[in-house]
Amino acid sequence: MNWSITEDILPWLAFTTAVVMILLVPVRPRGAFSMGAKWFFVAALACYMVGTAWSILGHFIVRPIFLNSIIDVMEDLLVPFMLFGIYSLYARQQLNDALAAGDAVTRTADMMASIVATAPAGIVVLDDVGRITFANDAARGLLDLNDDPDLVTLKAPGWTVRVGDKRPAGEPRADFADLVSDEPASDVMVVVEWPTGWRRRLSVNVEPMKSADGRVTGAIVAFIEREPWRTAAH
Amino acid sequence: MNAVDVFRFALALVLTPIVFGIARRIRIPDARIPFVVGYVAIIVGFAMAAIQPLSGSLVLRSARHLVFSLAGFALAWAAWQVRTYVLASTGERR
Repeated sequence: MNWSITEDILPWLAFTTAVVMILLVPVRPRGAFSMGAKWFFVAALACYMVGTAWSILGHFIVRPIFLNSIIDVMEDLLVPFMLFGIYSLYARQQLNDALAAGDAVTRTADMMASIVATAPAGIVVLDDVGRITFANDAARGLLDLNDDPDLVTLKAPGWTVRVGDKRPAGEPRADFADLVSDEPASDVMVVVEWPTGWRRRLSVNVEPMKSADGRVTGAIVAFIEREPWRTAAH
Repeated sequence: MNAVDVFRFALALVLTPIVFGIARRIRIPDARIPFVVGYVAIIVGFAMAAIQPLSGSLVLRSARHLVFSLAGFALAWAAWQVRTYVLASTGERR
């Protein structure tokens, strides 16, 4: 028995310590240090821990030759396993970044939806030809809008829209197409007239929506009512 | 010159740029230095085993084991830093 501290005990102790340290790293849900990374690192360092233990054991027993070959192959796996471990850590880190970005988008979308739902002003989203595809509660109340089960647009009660409240004004239309343009606008006067003659005069702000290539795909329109008008007949 | 030792050294050397390329993107700064020390020590240890003039003498054989021991302890240190990072990021104490 001519084992030595330097050649046998110290390397074994070092790699055993490393294995224990890796095992002590906790794995947390959504943490960068995943279970995959942990066990790849454990496997990598255990290869050498077993190898050094095998070397110590050789001083006490006669080791089967085929096991020597297996231990040799195990030691070859140190660096590849370490690479797998590092890649697992990196991949989880990237995944966590993507999930965190997704969470931030969801939180922002929820906040915006709350703002739109609780705003006292009417807010509608128009498509590229001026049809209403979304309206908040205030807009639904002001414009008598209802969901149309057959269409993605909302159903209006037959009113007409005229942009501008002075003569000459725009021609009345059954949609808000005159508000869809590539320029934002603010405090635009819009008159909405019901078939019964009832009118609402609205002050409108418009923000165009554009696709990535700059094409106008619709508009976001926010409005408040100036004062209700009645026709002379009313 | 042992073919297994040469293969081991060559494999580690080939994978080194990939290992470091990925490792530098991992945001656990306190674990970087111990990891680099540990990994470089492994490569040096492999080289000492694979390259004939270095692998022959008794003194260098002992030195090789010391280098491997350094690698093991450095990687243990890196693992401890990772543990500290994980516990700190979840607001726990050691």
